[in-house]
Amino acid sequence: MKLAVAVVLSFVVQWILGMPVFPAWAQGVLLPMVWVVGPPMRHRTQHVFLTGLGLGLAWDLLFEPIIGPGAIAWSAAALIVAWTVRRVGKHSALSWGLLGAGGTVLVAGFRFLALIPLGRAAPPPLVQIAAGTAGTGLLCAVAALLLGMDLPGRVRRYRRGRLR
Amino acid sequence: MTRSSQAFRPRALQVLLVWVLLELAAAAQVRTGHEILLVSWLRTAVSPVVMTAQAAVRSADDLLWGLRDFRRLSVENGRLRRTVATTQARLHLLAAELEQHRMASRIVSSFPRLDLSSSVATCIRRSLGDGRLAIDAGAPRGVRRNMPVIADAGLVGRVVRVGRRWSWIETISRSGAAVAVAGGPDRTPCLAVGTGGRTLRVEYVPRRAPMVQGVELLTTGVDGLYPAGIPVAKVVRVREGPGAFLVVEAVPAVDLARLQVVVLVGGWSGAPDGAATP
Repeated sequence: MKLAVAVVLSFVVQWILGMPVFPAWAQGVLLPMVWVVGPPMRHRTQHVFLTGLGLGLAWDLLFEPIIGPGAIAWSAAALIVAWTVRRVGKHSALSWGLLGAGGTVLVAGFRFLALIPLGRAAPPPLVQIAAGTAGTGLLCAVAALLLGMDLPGRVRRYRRGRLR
Repeated sequence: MTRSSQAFRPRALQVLLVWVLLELAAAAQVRTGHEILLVSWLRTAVSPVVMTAQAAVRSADDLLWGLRDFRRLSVENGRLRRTVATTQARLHLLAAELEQHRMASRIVSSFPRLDLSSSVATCIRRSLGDGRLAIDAGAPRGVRRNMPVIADAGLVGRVVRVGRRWSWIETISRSGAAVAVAGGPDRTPCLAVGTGGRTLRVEYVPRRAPMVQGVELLTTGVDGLYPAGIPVAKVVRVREGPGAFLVVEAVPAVDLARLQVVVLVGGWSGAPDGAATP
């Protein structure tokens, strides 16, 4: 339940980042990429494809005029990220960041390829890609650091100390 | 390979299928011009099949029409063949009839003394060994017994038997047939008798008669059967015999073996016939 709320929250924030208040490159940061990189990095590789597919469909529903290319791109990116994690085997924060950045590039590339048959393919601006790649990578690395810090455990230990 | 990694790998075919379905779903949402992109794709994919099917249908239709036309032409060809065959048969009949009329007109022109009661007939059967001919004229056409029968060159014989559709003629060459004739410069009367062969025997020719080879013998009419002045035969051999008369042989004026058209003499005018008499 918490995970579902977190996923919804990531999409809400993604929506907010697309608002005119924020700079244009901000919408290039793919917040849901955390849910693509996270499961394989935490050894949960059973439903990687379905996870990517669901995230892609949700992305298309919320942010794209056509439903389908996003799902293809996100599912493909999820498969490749999971395959890379299995091959590399490193689960550090740097790996998280690199996989998040690579996943962003993969999503953009596969989306471009999926739009070619539809006649709607248009390469996104390089600045947006660069900013999105860097931002997504940074986001994934931060997520890894936060997970490594075990914040819920620290909170629980802090509360137990106060009660004594 | 761990169990989790095995479960991680979805089957590539399923993934591809899902992606293709997603692409098709996306194409169903895109409009190009006046139609949906998916419909355009389907039309592009189906159009060769449709064109092939249409071409096949047109070919089958053309083939059916061709078969119908061929059948119709075959029927028409058969009908035309029958018509041509019928026309050719009629043409042959008309040619034969025309030839018959020509010969008849030649006979009539050779004998101006023939009157209008005479009729033309065609020889349909020959029995020269027996000395008889059959003609295609019978009693309904006015044929009577003992009617004289002539051809373009002279006398053929007489009618001896009359039927409904045909009649029999006794030729002058039949054994026992006799014709009263005369020949020579002084028109020596004599009797031409058939021998059953190709020649006639001329009897009762006096020794002092000027009968020589090449003399033409004409009917005299004294026998009551044949009118006078019709050529009968030409003398081919004359010799003296043991009796009181010359032995004379003659060949008929008419080639009985090639006879086709004859004229049945219905009447004979009494005026002298310059063409028939010498």
